[in-house]
Amino acid sequence: MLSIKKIEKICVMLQLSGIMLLLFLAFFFEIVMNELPCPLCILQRIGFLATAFGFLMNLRFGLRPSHYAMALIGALFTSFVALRQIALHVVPGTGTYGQPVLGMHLYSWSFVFSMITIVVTTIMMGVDRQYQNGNSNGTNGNSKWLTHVFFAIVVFLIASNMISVFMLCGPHECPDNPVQYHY
Amino acid sequence: MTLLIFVFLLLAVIFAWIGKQKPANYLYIITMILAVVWFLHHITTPLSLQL
Repeated sequence: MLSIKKIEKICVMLQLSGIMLLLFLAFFFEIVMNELPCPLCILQRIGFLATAFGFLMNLRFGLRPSHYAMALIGALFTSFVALRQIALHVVPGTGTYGQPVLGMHLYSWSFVFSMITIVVTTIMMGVDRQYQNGNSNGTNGNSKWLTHVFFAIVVFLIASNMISVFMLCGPHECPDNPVQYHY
Repeated sequence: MTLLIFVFLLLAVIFAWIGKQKPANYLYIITMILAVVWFLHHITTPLSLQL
């Protein structure tokens, strides 16, 4: 039977996979559909990556409230930035940024997913039994290689975002409404 | 600035990967502070607000 720690770690991995999927989808829209990210869009990506960092810490150093708090701060930041972008376009006639996907724009989806992350992470953080009987120091055995895979994918995502931002903005401040890569 | 935030976050993840928890924590905090500052800049500058 699965222990509560194992269930929590599986949930952490599922949340990490969801965030990675979102960030890969963002790249799909950027490269394939030529929807270049605005400064607020890039900040939302940073927020999602910060959330992923909290979950990675849980996998690497064991389940701790401080690691969940890191993920929560990242998700909260993402939701604020997304809400700010929604507020920019909420008044009719003020236009939108990018094409809608399944009826909502990407920044609205970003707000929805960050809210889901906040709720799920808070529930996971509140399960006291995962902190009992000492704190396991990270993953071991079968899930250790999975942790390395998750770290490698997050490093790849951050590095590719850096390249994308440099191609888009160079060393200058990113344009509010980018239309093409400058480099 | 955006690029700098990504650099700090990348370093934080790499430090965590190699098992250095303390530097990873500090780099994460720096990343979040920079991100919040940059977000406030994007709120206030286009609207010419003085908070």
